[in-house]
Amino acid sequence: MEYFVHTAIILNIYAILIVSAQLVIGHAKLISLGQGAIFGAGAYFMALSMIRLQIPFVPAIMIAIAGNALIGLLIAWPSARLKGDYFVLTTLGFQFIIFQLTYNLSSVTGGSDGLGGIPSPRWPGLSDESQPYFILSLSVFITALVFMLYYRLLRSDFGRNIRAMSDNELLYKASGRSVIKIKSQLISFSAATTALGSGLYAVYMNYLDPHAFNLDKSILILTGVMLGSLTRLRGALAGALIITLLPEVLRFAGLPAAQGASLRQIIFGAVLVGLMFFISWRRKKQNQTNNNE
Amino acid sequence: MQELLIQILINGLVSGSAIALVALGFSLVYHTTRIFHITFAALYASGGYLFWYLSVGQQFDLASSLFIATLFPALLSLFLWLIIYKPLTNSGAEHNELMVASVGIMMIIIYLISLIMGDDPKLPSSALGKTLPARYLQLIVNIIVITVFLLITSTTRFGLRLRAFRDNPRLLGRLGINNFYLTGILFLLSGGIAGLSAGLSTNDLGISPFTGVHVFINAFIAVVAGGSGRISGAVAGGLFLGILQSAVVFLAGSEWILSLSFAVLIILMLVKPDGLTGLARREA
Repeated sequence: MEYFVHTAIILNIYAILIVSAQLVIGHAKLISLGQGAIFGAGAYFMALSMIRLQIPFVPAIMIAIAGNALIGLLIAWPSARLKGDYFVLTTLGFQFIIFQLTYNLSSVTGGSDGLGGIPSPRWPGLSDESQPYFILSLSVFITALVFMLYYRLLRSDFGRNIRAMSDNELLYKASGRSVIKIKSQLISFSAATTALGSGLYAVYMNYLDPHAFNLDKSILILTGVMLGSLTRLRGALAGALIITLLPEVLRFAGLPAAQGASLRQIIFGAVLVGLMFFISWRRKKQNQTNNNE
Repeated sequence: MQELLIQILINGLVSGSAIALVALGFSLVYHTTRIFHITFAALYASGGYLFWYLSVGQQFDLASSLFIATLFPALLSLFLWLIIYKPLTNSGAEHNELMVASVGIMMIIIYLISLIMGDDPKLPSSALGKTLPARYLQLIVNIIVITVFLLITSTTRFGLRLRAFRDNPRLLGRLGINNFYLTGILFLLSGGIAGLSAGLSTNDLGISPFTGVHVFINAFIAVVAGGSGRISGAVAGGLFLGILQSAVVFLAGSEWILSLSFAVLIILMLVKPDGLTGLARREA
């Protein structure tokens, strides 16, 4: 049962990360290799404000959201002004910069030893045994909130503007709107909702390790978005389900932990390549049927 | 003070020439195909590990280890182009899809390496650099290879085709020049340069699975800083970045190298978007 609760909490966290990444990668068509770092930045904001400033859960998560929104603006500042590959390069760069900050500023972040002793929020009068269930309910609640937010967002003017911009940037600009502005907004918004996942992760794990937010995590989130769906909310949930359960399946298949980690990454890599072949094959087929009609 | 400056300059030249060489290799593929070829990082790692395995594990001599470490990534690069990029491009894959596929291949290769060789950094054997210090060997080979390349691209027919291909691949095809072989050669050369550079650097500093990604970022920064579209720009950008980084190491410490190069890149991109050598960018 404990195992089930653990997997369910992780699933919720991934669902938040993936639905947030979907806005950037899927809707705005900006491939990001820095989602792991954004996730990490939020978790460190959360942990540091709870440990160093002794702030309770709710205001701390507000700080994490605000902090991440700023990080998002910081990433958007150069990259929204530049085209195509420079966005990937900038996010990849931020991935390493945030890792270096969390790893090297050891007096603040604990460095390679990690940051421990993050307090969990507690419901008054609840026993220790039911604490995991409380965190699970909290994470389900927050995840539902995030999904509802995105459901509303994508049907609002803002969502339509994002799709219009990603469909044809030049046309969007020609209709008198600012591409830089909307890119900054959406990157910042996505980072802010990622912080909710980070906050949950921080208070659930009670411990942060810089290595948990490395490039692998970014690629994992990218895989989740690609596997699920680029645009559908349901797809984000499906993507989260696959990337949460695949490692568990591999573990049950009896792989030793040491090789398991590498093998999992190899499988995710192969899945990404296979998926790209599938997508382009399907498009080609669609084009052919369209031409025949 | 003067000695310190000279030391910074020499270190900068060694790492700068190394970055310039990988930037050159990366730009061969990037400028012509416009693929965000992050698999380059994995090709680099494969060359480095092969070199380490041959020279330290199997006691091969320096020249033959370097040769095999150059040959293998070159062939791997060609092979990956044939089985991944080419079919994807043929079936009309978009820019983003090629990029994601490239990330996927990188993951597969890097984690295959770490599965086989382990995650720990591999250090060079001290016996190898006996005849010539590894650093100077690296500097000399880098300079020779870069010079030969620049001469080839600026004076020969092949170089002319290369530049024409970069400017307009379609037009070149219409003129009856075979794009297929040209692209194949580019991937072969690019992989070879990745392997050679990785071998030389492993001989000096050793290698770990993600070294390639750092090198890739440096190479990309150099290409952008140097100005897109020009192969000599990549070299200029690499030297600039290397000297800057070695100055940063003295001032702030090696752990901040990447962050500061990025800061410089971002400032440079905003101030001078066409790069140091300034040539108008072709739209992807």
